[in-house]
Amino acid sequence: MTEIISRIHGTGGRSTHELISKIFHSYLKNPNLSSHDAAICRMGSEEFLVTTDCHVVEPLFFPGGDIGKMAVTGVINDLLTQGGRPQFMSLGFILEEGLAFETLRRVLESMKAVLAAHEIQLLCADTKVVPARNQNPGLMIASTLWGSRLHPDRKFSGPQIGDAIISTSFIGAHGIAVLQAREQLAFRGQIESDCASLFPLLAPILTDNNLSIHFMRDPTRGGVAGISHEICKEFEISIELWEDALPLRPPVRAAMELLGLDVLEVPNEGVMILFVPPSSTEEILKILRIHTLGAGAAQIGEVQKQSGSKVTLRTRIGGNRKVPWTDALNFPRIC
Amino acid sequence: MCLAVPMKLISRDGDWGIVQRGGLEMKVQLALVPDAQIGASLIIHVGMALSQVDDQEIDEVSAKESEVDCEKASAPAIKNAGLK
Amino acid sequence: MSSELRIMEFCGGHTHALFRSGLLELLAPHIKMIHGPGCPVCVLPPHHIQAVIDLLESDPQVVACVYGDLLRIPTLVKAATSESLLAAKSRGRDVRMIYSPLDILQLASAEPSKKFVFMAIGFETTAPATALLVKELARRNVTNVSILCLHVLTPPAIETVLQALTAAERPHAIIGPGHVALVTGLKLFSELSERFGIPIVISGFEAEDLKESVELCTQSLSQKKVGVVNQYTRALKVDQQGPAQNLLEEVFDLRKTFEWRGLGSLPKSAYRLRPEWAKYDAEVQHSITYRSLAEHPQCQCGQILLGKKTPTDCRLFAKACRPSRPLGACMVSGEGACHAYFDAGVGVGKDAGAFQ
Repeated sequence: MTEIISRIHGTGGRSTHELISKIFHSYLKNPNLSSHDAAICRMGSEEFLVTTDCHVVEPLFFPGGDIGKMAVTGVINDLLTQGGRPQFMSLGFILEEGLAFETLRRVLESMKAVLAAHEIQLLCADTKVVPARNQNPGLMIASTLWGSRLHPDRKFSGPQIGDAIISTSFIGAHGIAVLQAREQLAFRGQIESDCASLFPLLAPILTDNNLSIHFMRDPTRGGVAGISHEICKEFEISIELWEDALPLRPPVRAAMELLGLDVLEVPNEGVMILFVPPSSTEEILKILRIHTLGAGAAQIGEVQKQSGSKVTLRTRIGGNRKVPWTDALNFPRIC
Repeated sequence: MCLAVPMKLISRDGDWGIVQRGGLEMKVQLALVPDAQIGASLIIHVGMALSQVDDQEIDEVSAKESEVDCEKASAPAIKNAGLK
Repeated sequence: MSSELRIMEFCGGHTHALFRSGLLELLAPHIKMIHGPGCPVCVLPPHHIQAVIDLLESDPQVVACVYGDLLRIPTLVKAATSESLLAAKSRGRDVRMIYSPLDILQLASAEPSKKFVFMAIGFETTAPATALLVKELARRNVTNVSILCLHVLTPPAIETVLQALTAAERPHAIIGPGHVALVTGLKLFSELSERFGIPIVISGFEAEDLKESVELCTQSLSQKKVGVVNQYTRALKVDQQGPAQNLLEEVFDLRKTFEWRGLGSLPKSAYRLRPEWAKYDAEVQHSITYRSLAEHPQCQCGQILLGKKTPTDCRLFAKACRPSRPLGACMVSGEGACHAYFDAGVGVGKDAGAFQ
């Protein structure tokens, strides 16, 4: 491993995972440190779910969202992966010198809207100021969210062999929207981030204990490929994804082709990947597709017995290739 | 080599034009395709049209966009490619 | 007939497509694909990149405009920490990623006090866009943009590879670059084919195109036919390359020689701006000095680019050299053979983590 932190440690790909498992875990790992996106906290006879996340994005505002919205929807979605209702929040703001008050106001306005929509109570917060990193002073947000279970009996065992892998919606939008806003790419077009709270979409499913879901994770940084690799490693399974089945809106597909990017490595902020028993697939897809947040819901693959190739892709022409665990740098290329 | 993608010409002003694919629009240089008409499909590379391409190409890709068919038949005959 | 059928796909874009489409594993077992040097980032000696970085360090008014492919190429590999355009950008130098050379027109007019330098890499496919930029700069009388012209040519590269390989190593057929041919036409490939007695199939880039091209190679071979076959007929129409050829001739002439990574110094293998465009030539307008850079002594990129070795023959492969900390361009570029092998898990051992 390299001896210093570099930006590749922040992409949510392989190097991020190594940093966490080789450095952070060696000091901080304990039996209660969850490998899920949210953890179970037991206090006496009470149990609640908790999650935390840090948000750094440039630019701060992009079509379809902003850092403030992301900081709240991101942890709402993470809490959902353990069936949690978003109730209480704690926030940390690190502001860069030079940030305009107006910008800060807009970010807070955006956060307020999401908090209000979910009736989340902010219990505590803190702020600090640091020197700016570059010509565009911004801010970084750390958010912690906790709440009780939506359904007392709903537990997530982990992916099982034979499980269907479902994407709740179209993929690739967020990463392209941010890239387009940041790099001012050549094309104009209707690509907006999918940044959204999935609570309205998933709460009805999670409260219906007849619908079996074994595991959920949201493919944020690192994309579908990144979380697939993490999950294969944690649960000792293999995953086969189906290229033909990946749901992409036409502008996003076109953007991937123009930029030479792999949609599996692009981050999403309004998608959940579900691992469900095959018997539940039809019903869950039907329920998802009724909602606008689940318009593109599709089965994108299946869980297989662990083999040498952890994550593979059945390609459009019927071939099969490994899906590499990369650092998901997502630089457009010409060749 | 190189990443070049078919896109449809939707407007033209001399040597510059706008092309479209999947709803994305891009301003491109048309100096190498002087005869391209509106509606033509062009191979676009780094902001430049290199040639026209038969229409079939874009339509085929559009058809694939709406396909979410997990049971697609596989195994092309490629396994049999080789000298006898 | 020999038991092994060797086909070289010249172009890095084809290498990338072969792996990503899953076609490679669908090929009959006796077909061996040899990966050619058609990856402009892989064949660019790093001293050009270092020269741009040095320019950025010496002149804060300079803005380097580069394609995304170039950002992570390592230079100064033997130093304590490797250097790259991305590293320079991280420490505040003005490096901008562009999609098209023509984007620079807008950037330059928005910041008239800055001096924009465009690193024009790429084979013949990309050269017309650079040529158009030069002409537009002249037409608009722009004074704050110059081009570091590093375009390289396909036929000398094919020729060098075929000459470097022994009879046992040489491919029986070549799959040639469809997009280069859109600019050059087929004649150059036809001449090469006749000269070396090797059929060349000019191919598109979809998986279906490559599949068909492999089949066309085997057909030519079983019929003992030499010459060029155009698989990319939907885009590549014969005798339509006039405008491209005229444009290139108007702006570029040939460098006497150009040093290629791995292939050596090749005569008449690269473009430079004609003297009448000196105003837009970065080598004239800026003091671009090239350092003599040593690559990692065990880096086998050169032999891999020639098709003599495969990535797994390199001792650094997947150990000291991997996409997250590349030691050579072949591991950085998505089309480099080393990167393609790594991502496909070929020859990647237990310690690489994801492919146990």
